[in-house]
Amino acid sequence: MRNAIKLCITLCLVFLPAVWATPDNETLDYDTHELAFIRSLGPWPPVSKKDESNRFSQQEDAIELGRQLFFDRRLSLNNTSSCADCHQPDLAFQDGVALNTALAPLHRNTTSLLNLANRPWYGWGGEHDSLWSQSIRPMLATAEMHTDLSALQKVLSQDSFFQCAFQQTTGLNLADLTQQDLLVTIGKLLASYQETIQSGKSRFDLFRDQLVDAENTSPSQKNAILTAEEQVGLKIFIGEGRCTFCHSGAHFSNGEFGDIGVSFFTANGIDKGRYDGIKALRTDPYSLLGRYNDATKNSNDAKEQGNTETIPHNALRTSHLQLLHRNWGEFKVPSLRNVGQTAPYMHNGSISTLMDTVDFYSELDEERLHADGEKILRPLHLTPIEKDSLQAFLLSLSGPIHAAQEKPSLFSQCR
Amino acid sequence: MPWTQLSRAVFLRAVLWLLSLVVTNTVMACTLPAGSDINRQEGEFLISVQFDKQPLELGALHSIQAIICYASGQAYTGEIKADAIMPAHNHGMNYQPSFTMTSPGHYTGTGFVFHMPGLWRLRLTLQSDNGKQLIEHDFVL
Repeated sequence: MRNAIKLCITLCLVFLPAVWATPDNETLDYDTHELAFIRSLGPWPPVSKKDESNRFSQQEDAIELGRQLFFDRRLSLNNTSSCADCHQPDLAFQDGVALNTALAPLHRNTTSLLNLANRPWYGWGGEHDSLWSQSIRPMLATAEMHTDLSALQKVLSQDSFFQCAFQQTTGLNLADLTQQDLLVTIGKLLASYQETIQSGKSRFDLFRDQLVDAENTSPSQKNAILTAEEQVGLKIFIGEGRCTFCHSGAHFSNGEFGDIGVSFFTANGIDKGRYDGIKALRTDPYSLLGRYNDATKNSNDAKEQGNTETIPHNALRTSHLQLLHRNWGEFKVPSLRNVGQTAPYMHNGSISTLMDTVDFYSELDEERLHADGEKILRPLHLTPIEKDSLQAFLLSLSGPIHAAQEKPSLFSQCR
Repeated sequence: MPWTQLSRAVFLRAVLWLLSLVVTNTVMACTLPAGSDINRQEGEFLISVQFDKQPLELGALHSIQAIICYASGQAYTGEIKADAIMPAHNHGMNYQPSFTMTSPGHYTGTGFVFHMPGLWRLRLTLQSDNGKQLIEHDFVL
């Protein structure tokens, strides 16, 4: 009996969670493997890079005109809604509801527009390979903006200020454009603005920077930016939780797709996710393989020099994509940056809160998951303390949100 | 045509043929560079593979440069098929890489995206008169 008590005390001393013994301002111990994972989750923000498929990318006047279009309800049928009505700046550029009902009930959750520049795929099914082609989608969708392009061209052409600003920005005469060219140009202007919607450094980023600096200089165990609870959550995230299998890199997303067992049934049928996304991409006239990719101009030069097989370098990912049976029911791995501000969660908005999401992963239904080999996902069976810690860590991923602000002086000669 | 002119033409042709033979043999002589990411013999093939960057970046599009020779020193000029799998999870990439031969024995392959951390197995399949040769290379990302 005495031995049993001794053993119990020893075990308690050894295995009591570090969080209980660690003051809030101390850095927990991390092994080499953990440090490598933490390092891989940054740096943040990423280096700003021009989207070569969009000739207006990072142009000041295009950003301002795109910003104006983003808030302009004339883009929708009967002036019913603007982009900003569903992607609300005050709600981390999403809408805060499970499924929006724009012009008709939708079957996918409205995603946040944070940090979308230079991502490989857009949309829950990855139907688009550029931000500008993704920006065209809601305009064409009958259940969303259902834009009447003919009416839009007419009304914008009659707006002398807009016509002037458009001419100044694009060098194009609005009235002379084909409807497709108008659509693509508006998509590219909208994308130019959306590229500026970014989240700044979060408390996690500051912690990571501190840890990386400490690796390079003399280690400091004091004044950690994350609390002990958040650090325990971090350890779960990069360790037994296996979250970094998919939520990897500085974006906390590998940019690809996965099936985590969320229902793909909709009110009217089935959402095949990535499977239909790839099919849609392959027939999309606005994909990077099409003629609207502004990077193709260099490739055309190459073709004239006899290299007929040239694919624009920014379309190589699209051209090598393969359609696989397992894509069925896969949905985009979302970024977890500012995840505390982007509820509800999942492609169909079926999980209301962040803690419910942690619960979902903790008690995963293994029978619903498809895996022939070692399971990537498995129920974590987290304790209430561990769940709180994981949630606390996820909340530490929020940084200040900023986007391009109004710059009326850019078009002063148009007034 | 006078005989003198004819014999001069034959002589010149012979010289050109000999020169082309020398040049061709020089070009076709296939050797592997040292210090590649993969550098080894597999069956009748000598293989060198160099990734575009190290360390490899998770989720990024990568390309490789491959040099493939027969052990005899001749350049391999056949087809290369490639994929990469995660043996533990029994799944591969979401992309189908493709190869272009830039000169005899020299290939550029692109379309490699390794989207998860862990053990990956790169698989190259070559086709020779003796059948298919599978070359596998494991690495951890």
